[in-house]
Amino acid sequence: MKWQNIQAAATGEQLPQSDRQLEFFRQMLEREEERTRLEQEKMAWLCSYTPVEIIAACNLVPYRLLAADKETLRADIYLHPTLCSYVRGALENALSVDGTTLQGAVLLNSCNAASHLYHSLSTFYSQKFHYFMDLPHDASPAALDFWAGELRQFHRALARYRGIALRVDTLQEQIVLYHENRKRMAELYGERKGEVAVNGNDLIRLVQASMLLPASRFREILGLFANHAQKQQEKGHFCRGPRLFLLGSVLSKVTIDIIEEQGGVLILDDLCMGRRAVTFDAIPAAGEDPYYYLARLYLGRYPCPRMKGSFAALDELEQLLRDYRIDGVILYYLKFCDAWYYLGQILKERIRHIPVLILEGEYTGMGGGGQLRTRIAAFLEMLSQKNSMSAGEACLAPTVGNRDVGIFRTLDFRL
Amino acid sequence: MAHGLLKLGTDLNQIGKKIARGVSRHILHWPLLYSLGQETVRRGLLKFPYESKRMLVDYGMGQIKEAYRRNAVLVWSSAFSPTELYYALGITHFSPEVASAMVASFGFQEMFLKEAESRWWGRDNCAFHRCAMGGVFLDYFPRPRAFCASTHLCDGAVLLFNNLAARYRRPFFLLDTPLKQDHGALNYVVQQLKSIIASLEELSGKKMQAEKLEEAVACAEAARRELEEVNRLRRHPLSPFNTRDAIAYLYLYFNGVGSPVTPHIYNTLAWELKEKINGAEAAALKPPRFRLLWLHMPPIYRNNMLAYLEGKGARAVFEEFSHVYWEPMDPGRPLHSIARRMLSHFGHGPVERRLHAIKTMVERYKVDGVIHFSHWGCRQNCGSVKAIRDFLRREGIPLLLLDGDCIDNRNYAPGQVQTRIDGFLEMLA
Ligand code: SF4
Ligand code: SF4
Repeated sequence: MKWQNIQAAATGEQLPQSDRQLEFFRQMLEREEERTRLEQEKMAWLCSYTPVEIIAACNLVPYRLLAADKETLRADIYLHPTLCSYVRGALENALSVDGTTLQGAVLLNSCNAASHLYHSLSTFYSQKFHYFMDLPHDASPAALDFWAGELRQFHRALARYRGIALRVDTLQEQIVLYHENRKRMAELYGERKGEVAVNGNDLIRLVQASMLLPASRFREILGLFANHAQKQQEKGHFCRGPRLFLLGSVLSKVTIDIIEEQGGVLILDDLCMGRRAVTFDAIPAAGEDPYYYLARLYLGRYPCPRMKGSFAALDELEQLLRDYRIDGVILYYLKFCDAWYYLGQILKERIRHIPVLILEGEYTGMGGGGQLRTRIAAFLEMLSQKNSMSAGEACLAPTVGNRDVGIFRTLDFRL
Repeated sequence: MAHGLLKLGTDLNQIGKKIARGVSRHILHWPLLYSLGQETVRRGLLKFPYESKRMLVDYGMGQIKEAYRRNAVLVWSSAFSPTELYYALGITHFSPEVASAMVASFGFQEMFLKEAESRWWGRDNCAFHRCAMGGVFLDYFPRPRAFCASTHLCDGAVLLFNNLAARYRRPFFLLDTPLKQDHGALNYVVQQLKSIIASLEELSGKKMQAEKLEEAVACAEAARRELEEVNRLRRHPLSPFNTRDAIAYLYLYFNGVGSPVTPHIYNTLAWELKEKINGAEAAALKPPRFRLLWLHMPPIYRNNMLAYLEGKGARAVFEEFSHVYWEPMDPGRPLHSIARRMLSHFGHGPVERRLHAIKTMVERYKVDGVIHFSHWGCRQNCGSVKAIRDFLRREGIPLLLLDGDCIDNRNYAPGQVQTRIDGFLEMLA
């Protein structure tokens, strides 16, 4: 679909300016996602290590199983309450709305919760395609060999299910398409060391769209968004407020938007539904097997907390925060998400010179947006005060919910 | 799964209380302390219900002594790691999960848990790991030179080891154990074992001798056979050895695979069980009213769940961690054998594997019902509850689900547990 068509179908009006333009983008993404949800043949996936290129090469739209932004009454029957609210929400979603239009699901062994979700889904999708795949913990040569073999087997199984021939050239086309999209997303994320014209929550919104829309359609939208972002930058329409770094488990868009709403500027994130899911790349070697390439591409990216390299990678974090002039860090992890729980502790100890807000909660926010809003607002206020004071003065500011490290180091709001 | 449990029984408990209560934690770092403990055990100054248990306590003490030895090349190792490699290389290993079980068996867990909880750790993660963190913060444990973990069964073990490796700034060797059991998975595990051996060689300055590795695998195989024999005897209607007795011996499964001592201890135990069965038959003892299978671990801290069952005429005759699930090992193909052992754990991979193993145990030990202990914080175990319940219902096997914690006793309410057990036994009657 061409941009003009989307535009015409959307409003029939001329493009509005700045904020309205952004709002227009947001609405357009909603509409496009809804259309994909209703009209397209899709294959659900959960973990951002899923090689979506293979799904697309089998003529299906790779469709991330997001969690329902509502109570998980049905899912709670099948999944134990000590599993995170993301997998429970994802099951609820699959069982209620999206489940009716999906061809099946492919899940990776990303964590215990994901493997239990797979078991539940496989009982419901007994007539559909359901596939569970190993995911190594690093990119060692042995892991690459092993995973390349897994990816080949997965492609074979899905092609067989679809009743189509397995075609490597189609896979290569998809690899190129996704590579281009990621490259453009990486560019958007790349230029954020100085002032930014686009708040990070809109980038995360785009990443979410990239996980739900066909890659070709997303490419068109991405092109338009990049133009818009560039124009805003040129005009000097910059976001104002404390510069933030957000990291943690999978979060709902509602939760992330609260940061912008409260006046924070999200400069960077380390989310598997944000920057981490799109800013990775690898150049294929001449004659390289596409499955080996995909294994190298995915396993070689910046590690998520379940990967072996994630703890060592924290050593680089503080420098990154300095490079991007980050004023504050928000770590929001889901209750019962062990991966972030274990990594979070080391993170808290390693970040010594930048305030960190630690929040533990549910996928849809800490039992309602109100509490979350208050805590984020308090944190942002603290950052603003700190910015307007010298470091020495800052230490005299009133303590807020701090436990074992100095004020302006960590606000630990876990329940 | 961590259930490392060095619940070496009430006898070791007594020793522990005598030596650990009121003494500085630094004393625990003295190898001499464990030499004294070993002497106490060897000279028969403590009474044990089984000779094999005395051997077990002696062996455990020896290992702890080694771990605290200054200059020991000590690797902290997760509950399901390939211990054969350490024995073959002569490297000392220490399991923090087993240490947690030991702490709980001594009754000191609260101090450890509270320490961890005051420093980030909440109550929603596995208490085997939380208690171990407390031990780290309190500096009770021997200092590691490296960490080695395998990825089964829970995420927690890998994450704990990764966290600790970052904390101590020591190398972390990971054995990624795939869920599949095909040729590709086997090859992947073998490649990783080779690389772990290379890392351990570098760490210890020792070279792996092929014959030593074969010897360790031969010991592992001998232990497997002897444990099979112990388990065969446990099928006897008089059920000479219940879960309460068996828990301490799980130490061997978690820590002793590959050691020459392990087969001897199992062999002695088998011999003692035969004697016990003969004695029980001669005395015309009655079999228990209900035979039960225990899933996951029972609590390690002082509790009366299993005793209460016994008092009501029911007996936990078998527990899933004693199940021999791996095939015979071939010392001529040591790495393949270890890799196959790693890959074949029934709790790893699709839940159907565990269901199949449960069915095998139900039939083999002729149980009347199953108790599943849902250890809070164990995603691997709790997450399977629904599948297990549906499966056993289909199979017509009664199930009692008990919620609790193996290590943290702060929410343990004996009255409630007893009421649930009473209801279950009534249903079985
Ligand atoms: S949020 Fe954590 S526990 Fe939940 S699926 Fe993701 S990694 Fe697993
Ligand atoms: S989480 Fe479960 S499997 Fe892991 S150590 Fe704890 S009890 Fe064992």
